[in-house]
Amino acid sequence: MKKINLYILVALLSIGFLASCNKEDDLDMNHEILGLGGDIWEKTEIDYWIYDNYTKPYNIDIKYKWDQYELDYNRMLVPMEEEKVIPIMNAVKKVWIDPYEALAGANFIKALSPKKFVLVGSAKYNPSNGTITLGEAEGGRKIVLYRLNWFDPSDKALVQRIMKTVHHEFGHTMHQRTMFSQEFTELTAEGYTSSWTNTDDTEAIQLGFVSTYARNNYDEDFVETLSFILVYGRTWFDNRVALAQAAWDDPSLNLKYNPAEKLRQKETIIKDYLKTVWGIELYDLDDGTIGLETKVQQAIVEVTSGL
Amino acid sequence: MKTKILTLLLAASVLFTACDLKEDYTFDETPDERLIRVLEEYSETLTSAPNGWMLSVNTEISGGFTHWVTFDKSNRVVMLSDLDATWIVNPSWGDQSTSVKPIESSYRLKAMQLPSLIFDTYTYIHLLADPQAKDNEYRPGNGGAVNGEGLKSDFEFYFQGIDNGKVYLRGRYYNTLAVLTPATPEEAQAALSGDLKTVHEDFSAYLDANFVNAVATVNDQPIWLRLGSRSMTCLFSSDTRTEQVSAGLYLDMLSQTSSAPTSNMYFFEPIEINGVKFTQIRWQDNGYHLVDIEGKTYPITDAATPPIKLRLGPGKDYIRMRTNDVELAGTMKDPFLTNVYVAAYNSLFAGNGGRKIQKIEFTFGTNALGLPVAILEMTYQNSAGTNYIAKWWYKYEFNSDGSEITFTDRDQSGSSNENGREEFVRMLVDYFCYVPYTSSSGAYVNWVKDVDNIQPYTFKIDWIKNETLGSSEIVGGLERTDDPGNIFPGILLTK
Repeated sequence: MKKINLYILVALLSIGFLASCNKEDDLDMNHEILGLGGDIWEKTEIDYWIYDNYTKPYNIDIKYKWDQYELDYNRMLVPMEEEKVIPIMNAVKKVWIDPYEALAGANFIKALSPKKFVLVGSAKYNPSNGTITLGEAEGGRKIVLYRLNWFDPSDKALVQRIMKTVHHEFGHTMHQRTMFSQEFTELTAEGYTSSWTNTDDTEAIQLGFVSTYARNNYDEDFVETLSFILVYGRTWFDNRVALAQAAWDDPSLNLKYNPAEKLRQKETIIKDYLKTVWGIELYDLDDGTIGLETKVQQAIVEVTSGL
Repeated sequence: MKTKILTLLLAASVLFTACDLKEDYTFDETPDERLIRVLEEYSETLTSAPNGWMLSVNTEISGGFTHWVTFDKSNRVVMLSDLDATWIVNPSWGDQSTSVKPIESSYRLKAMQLPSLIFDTYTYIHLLADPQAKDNEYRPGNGGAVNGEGLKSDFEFYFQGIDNGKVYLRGRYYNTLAVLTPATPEEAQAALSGDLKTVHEDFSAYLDANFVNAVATVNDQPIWLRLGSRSMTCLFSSDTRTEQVSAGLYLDMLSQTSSAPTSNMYFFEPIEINGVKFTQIRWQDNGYHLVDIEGKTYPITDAATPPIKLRLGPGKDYIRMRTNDVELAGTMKDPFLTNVYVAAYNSLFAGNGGRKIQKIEFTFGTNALGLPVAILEMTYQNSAGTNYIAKWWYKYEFNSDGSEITFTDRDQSGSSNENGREEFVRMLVDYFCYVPYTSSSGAYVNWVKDVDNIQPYTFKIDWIKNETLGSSEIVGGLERTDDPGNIFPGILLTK
């Protein structure tokens, strides 16, 4: 009896479980969750341009409309002027994507590029140290560019500043994928300081850095050196080395090491890194191969001369 | 038997509890459905206003700014702004006429913590919030905005609700209050004719022509209203201090008619002044009136001097007086003008190599020991055109209610500036406290005061009427109690 009852119990329970929830939810797949991709607006020419030039070929999203969720909550920032979106992203494509693509192939950008650009009209003010931020990269996935309402394609200095930010951030993406050699981190190790904002450019030269910001840490140093060479050119870098050499030649400065030598060593490591890791030539070769630096320099001339 | 019952009970519970497939919502729709519906309703409201909207935004730093806006169903918004009535606008696109040139940008409605309206690409409203300076010039232009903060305003708003056709908004970042009022055909026309700017200009011209000090009486207490076309500050006296209430406001273009020379003003939310809550300032019966939430009106009248007690001294409303014959021309009167100011000016000019008094500043503070010390600073120019400052320290005391001040002694500050100037400007420095010397040659440490014959003077502190043409400065005076009518005048400064 007991046994039978147990069977009945089990049977009943099973029916209960099996029969229980045949719950058919009437899922309307067309309605997106608001605020999670459900952010919709009528497409304009800008949206189609972005789709054709970034989203479709490279799977990159360009967020030019204000979206607080992409940005720092406790800073006052303002959105972009619409009419500057295409000129800026056109310049970014010519000066950043095209040179890399030409040398490393279309898949390089597709595989490595950040998936999202967020465009902001104003600079980001950092009240703690009085600086402004012009660009940020987040784990290689997203690049935020600031202060874009001041973009003027004929202003070469400004274009270089914005493009330096893009190349700087993309440099992070590359080394976050495959790290550069340990040797780089030791070249000017004693020059790194978190209070780089209190240092000046003269000191940066004497310690073998391309900029004061490069002194923040070796990651920043690596991408600063790379982006300065690309965006300001090999001639600019050679001049920088010459300044460093002049400092070394001045005995009154009492430098501990030759900063010109260090800059050259950094240049060599970057050149080897690009070549061995990504198969990209930094500089032109004797056999007529055009290097990345030349490509970027040509593109900057093209963009700023309105071609 | 026991087991059977238990089994039945179990079976029954399984059967009955199984599955209630119906989801139970407090409302008829899912939260998402409701959110979508609410956004659609707001969208319908915004896009169906036939003449657009008047959008007034209350910035933390500069008070109210008004825009005329139209929303269409394709996420486009067209906007004009009254910004150029106050600021020299310096937008990167180059055109400064925000009240004349409509510009188009985008907006969208989005469900954030609350249904929200976002002006999501740059337009006039962002000029108020823009934290960016260019070429050392702040956007929106000539001051007021702080780098990194702008005018403390918003362009991302939560919907607070709709009342009487008006849509109430609150900014996400600075909590800025904003209100959308449906525009009438006349308002749209006026906005498109540039009236967003001219209504401010007319109002300012009216204020200049008709008010020295606007005064209203609330709960039997005179209230001093410092009116502007974007904000108002009210000051009134309590027993111990001056109470101050400030609020942003906005003008409307249509209340200005042939019978009403200027616009009504509305507060973004009722402001409480001496226990009464007010919603607006209205033109009626040939004058301005404060209107409380019950609709009761309080006429605003003009007065030559502020209707509250002048509180001067360290930690009080004003700590400094600035005096010169240009800024106070017509306000500075005899006998002080001739016997003290001009006499000192001429004496210094003639006796001391053509040096000219530029201005006098009198600051009422305390010294390092916390004792009351007032610093008289006389700025003078030498014949080469360079300015120098001579300084004297005065010991002083107030009477019990702070309405009188007595200067009891005086010293030079120790520099050669006053040391070499004092003999020429004795009428000025002795005006406050007469100090004779038994010896006065060389450095000040060698001077010897004739202490038995120091003559302190006591002054009554009060407002005086600003009679200088074109000046709206607030002016106070120190009147010698031993010589009524002999008044040292000064523009009152808070810092």
